[in-house]
Amino acid sequence: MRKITGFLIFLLVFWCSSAACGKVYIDINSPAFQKFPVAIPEFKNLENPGNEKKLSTWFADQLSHTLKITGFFKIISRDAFLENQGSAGITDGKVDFSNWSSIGSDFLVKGGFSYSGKKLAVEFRLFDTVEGKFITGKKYWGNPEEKKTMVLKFADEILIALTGKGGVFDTKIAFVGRKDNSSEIYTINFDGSNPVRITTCNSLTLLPHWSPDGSKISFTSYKDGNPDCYIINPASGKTKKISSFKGLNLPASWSSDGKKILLVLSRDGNEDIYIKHLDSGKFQRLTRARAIDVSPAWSPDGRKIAFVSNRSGSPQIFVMDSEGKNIRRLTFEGSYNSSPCWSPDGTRIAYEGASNGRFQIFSIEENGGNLMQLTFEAGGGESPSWSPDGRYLAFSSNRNGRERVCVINSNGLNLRVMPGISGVESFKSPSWSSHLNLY
Amino acid sequence: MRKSMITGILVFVCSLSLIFITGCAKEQAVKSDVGLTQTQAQPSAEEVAQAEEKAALREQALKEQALEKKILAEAVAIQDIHFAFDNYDLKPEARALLGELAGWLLEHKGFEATIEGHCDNRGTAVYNLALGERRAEAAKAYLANLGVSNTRITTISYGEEMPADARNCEDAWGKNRRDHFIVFPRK
Amino acid sequence: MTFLSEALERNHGDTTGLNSMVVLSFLLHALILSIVFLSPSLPSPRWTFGPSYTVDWVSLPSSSVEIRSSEATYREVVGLNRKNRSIIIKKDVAKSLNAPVRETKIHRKSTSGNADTAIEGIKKRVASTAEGSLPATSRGHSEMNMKMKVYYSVVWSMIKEKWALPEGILPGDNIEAILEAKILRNGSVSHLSFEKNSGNRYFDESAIKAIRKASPFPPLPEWLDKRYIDLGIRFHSSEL
Repeated sequence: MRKITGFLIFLLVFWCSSAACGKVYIDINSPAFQKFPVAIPEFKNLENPGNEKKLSTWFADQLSHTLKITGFFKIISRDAFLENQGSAGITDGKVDFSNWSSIGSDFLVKGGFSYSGKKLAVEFRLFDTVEGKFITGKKYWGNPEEKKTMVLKFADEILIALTGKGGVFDTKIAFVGRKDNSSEIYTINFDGSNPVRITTCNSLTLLPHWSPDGSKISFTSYKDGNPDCYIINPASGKTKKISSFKGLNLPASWSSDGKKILLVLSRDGNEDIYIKHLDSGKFQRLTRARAIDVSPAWSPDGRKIAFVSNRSGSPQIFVMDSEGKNIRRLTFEGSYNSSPCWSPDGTRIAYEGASNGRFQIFSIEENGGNLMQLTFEAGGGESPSWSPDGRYLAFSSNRNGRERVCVINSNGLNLRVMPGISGVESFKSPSWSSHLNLY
Repeated sequence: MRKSMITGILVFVCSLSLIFITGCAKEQAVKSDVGLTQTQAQPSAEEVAQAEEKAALREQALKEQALEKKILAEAVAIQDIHFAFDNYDLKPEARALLGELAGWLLEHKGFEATIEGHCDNRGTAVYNLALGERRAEAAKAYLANLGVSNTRITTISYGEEMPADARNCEDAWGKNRRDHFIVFPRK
Repeated sequence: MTFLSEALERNHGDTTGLNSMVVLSFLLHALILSIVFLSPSLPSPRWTFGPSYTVDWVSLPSSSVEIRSSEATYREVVGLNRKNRSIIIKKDVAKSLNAPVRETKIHRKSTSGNADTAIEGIKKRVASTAEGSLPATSRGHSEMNMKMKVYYSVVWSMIKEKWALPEGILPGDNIEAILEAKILRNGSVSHLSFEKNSGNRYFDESAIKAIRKASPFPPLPEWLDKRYIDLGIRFHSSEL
C-alpha cells in the first residue's frame, strides 16, 4: 500500500515539474536565398611584406572573380574592410574574426605567397568568421605562370567545403562561331578565357557535340557540298568523316561509353533518328514515322532517348527507349518545343520552347512534371546544354542584335554572357564538355 | 617548147614555194622565239588544215557557251518560291513557277537543277534543316510529277543558315522561307 | 439510537482500511486533476509564428509580413512609442462616455504600464490562435506561456532574418534540422547543439550560422524567474 502511495506521489510531482519546465520549440521554414558573403583581402608577400603589390592584388582579384562567376558567392568590397590588410596575420591564431563578421562577411580567405628559387609558393586559407574557425587551407608550389591554376584549384576546394561539390573550371564549351557565310567550331573555358578555333572548314559548320571523355567533337560541315557528319580530335586536329549519305547527316549526343553516336539522316527521303556504332560502322534505325524526327538526346543511363518530332502537328519533345519503342510525348505546353538536353543526373530535361514570339529555356522533370521557365530574356534562349555537375546551363541568346553564348545557373539565376572573339560575328549551338582534367 | 614549159613551171613552182616558204618562215619567225632560225621545218598543209579545224571548233564552242549563257540567263530568272511558317506545302504561285521551270527543263534536256531549301531563323537549327529539306523535296516531287526526271534534280537544305534577308522581322522571315533554284548544264 | 450505534459498531473494525482508502482517493483525485489542468501544455507547444500572421495577407511574400508583425511585437516588448500611447488614451476618453463597464475597465488597465499594455493587447490578438482553450483555473501557467510567446516570437524573427543559403545548394525534398539552444538571462547563447541532424551538412551549417549571427538575443523578461531557458529550434527547408 505504501509503495503504491509513494509511486502515485512521485507521479504527481513528476507531472507538476515537467509542466512547469516544458521545453518550447519554435519552427522556422524556408531560408532566404543569399549567396555566401566572402571577403578576400589582398594576399601577403610573406618574405617582403609590401613588395610586389601587383601580385598581392592580382591573387585577390583573380580569386574574387573566379568565385563570383560560380554564382554562389557575393564578394565583399575591399573598401568595407576594417583591417589594415598589409599588417594583419593570415593564420587562424592571428585573425580577428569580429573584424569580418561585423561587416557582414560570413567567410574569409587569407593568402600569402613567397618565392623559393624560381618557384612560386602560394598558401590559401578559408575561415568561417561567424563561428570563428578555420575551414580548409592549401599550399601550392609551381612556376609563376601557373598562378591562375593555383587560384582555380583553391576555388575548387572552397566550393567542395561549402557546397559539397567542386566547380567546373576544368570544363570547356564548344560552339559555332560564324562570320559572313562560313562558320567554324570553337572552344572556350568555363570562365570565358582561352578561346580556340578547332576546325578549318571554310564552309558552313554546325552542331558540335563533345564525346563523353572530352577527346573528340562531332559536327556537321558543308565543306564537301553536302551536310556531312565528321568527328575531330581537337588536340591533334585529325578529322574523320563518319556519315555522308544523301541529304542530312546531323550528329547528336554520344552514348556515355563513347562507342555510339545518335544521328539524324534523311537518306531515304524522311528525317529519322539512327544510331551509328562507331566500332563496327553499322547504322541502326530508330524511328520510321513519316514525321520529321530530329534532335535526339541520350539519357545519362543510356536507356532513354528524348527527341523532337512534329508527328502531333507541331514540333514537340517525345521520349522513347533506346530501341525506339515506347514513345511518349513529354511537352504539352507551348506550340513549339525543341532541343532537348538531359541533366547529368537524369532527372530533368532542358529545352527551348516558344514563348511570346521568342524561344526561352525551360526545364521539365523527366516524367513531365514540375515545368520551370528559366530564361525571360528579351533576346530569348536557344539550344541549352547542361554542365557536367548539373549546376549550370549554356545556351545562345540574342544580345543587342548579336547571338552570343550565355551561361546561367540551373535555377535560372546569374546569367553571364561569354566574351566575344575577334573575327566572329555570332555564336550559337553551345555544347558543354565533361571534366577535362586540365590541371 | 616542152623544155621551156617544164622549166617555166618549175621556176613558177619554185618561186611560189620560195614565196610561200619565206612567207611562212616569216610568220614562223614572227610567231616563234627570237632565237629560232629560219631553218625550222615549214608546216605542211595537213598541219595547217588541222590548225584551221581547231580554230573553227574553238569558235563553235565559244558560240555554244554564249548561247548557254543566254539560255541560263533566261532560266536563272526563275524566282524563289516561298512557304508559310513551319510548312512545306506548295502555294498556287509556287506551282505556277514550278510549272514554268518544268517546261523549260523538258525543252532543254542538257541542263540539270539544284533546289536549295531554306527557312527563317525562328526555331532550332536542326529542325530547320529538316524543314528546308522538305521544302526542296516538295518542289522536286512536283517537278517529277510534271515529267522532269529525278536524276536531273538534286536537293540540298541550308535550314536557317543562309537567309536572303538577315533582318529580324516578318518581312525578312517571309523572304527567307524559300526554295532557291540553280540551273546548270549537265557535265 | 440503536440503529445508529449498531452502524457505528459495524464499521469500527475497518478504520485503518478507511484511512488508506482516503489517502488513495486523494492521490487519485490529485492525479486526475493535474492531468486535466496540465496536459494541454505537456506536449511541446509548437510556436509557428509565420503562418498565423500570413493568413490575411495572401498576396504579399510571407517573410516580410512575418518580420513586420514581429517587429511590432518586439517594439511593444521593448518599449512603446509615444504615438501608440496617445492613441490608447484618446480611445479611453471617447469610450468612457457610453461604454459598458467591462470595456472601461480594460482601458484603465492599459494605461498602467508599457509592457503590460502590450502584453494585454497581444494576449487578446493571440488568444484566438492559441492551441486549444485553457480552463480558467490554469491561467497561471498559460499566462506565463503567453508572456514567453512574445519573447519567442522575437527570437524567431531574429533567427529567420539571418538564415540564408545560396540557391542551388539545397536538395529538392523537405529536410529538417533541430537545434537546442540555452539562452542565458542576458540573452547570449551559452550552449548550442543538435537534437537532430538534417542529413545535409550544408543545411545544418546554415542553421548553426543563423543562430550565431542572430545572437545575442534580448535579455530574458524580468518577471521570468529562471537563470536560463532551453529553446528548441526546428529548421525546415521548405514551407510546411
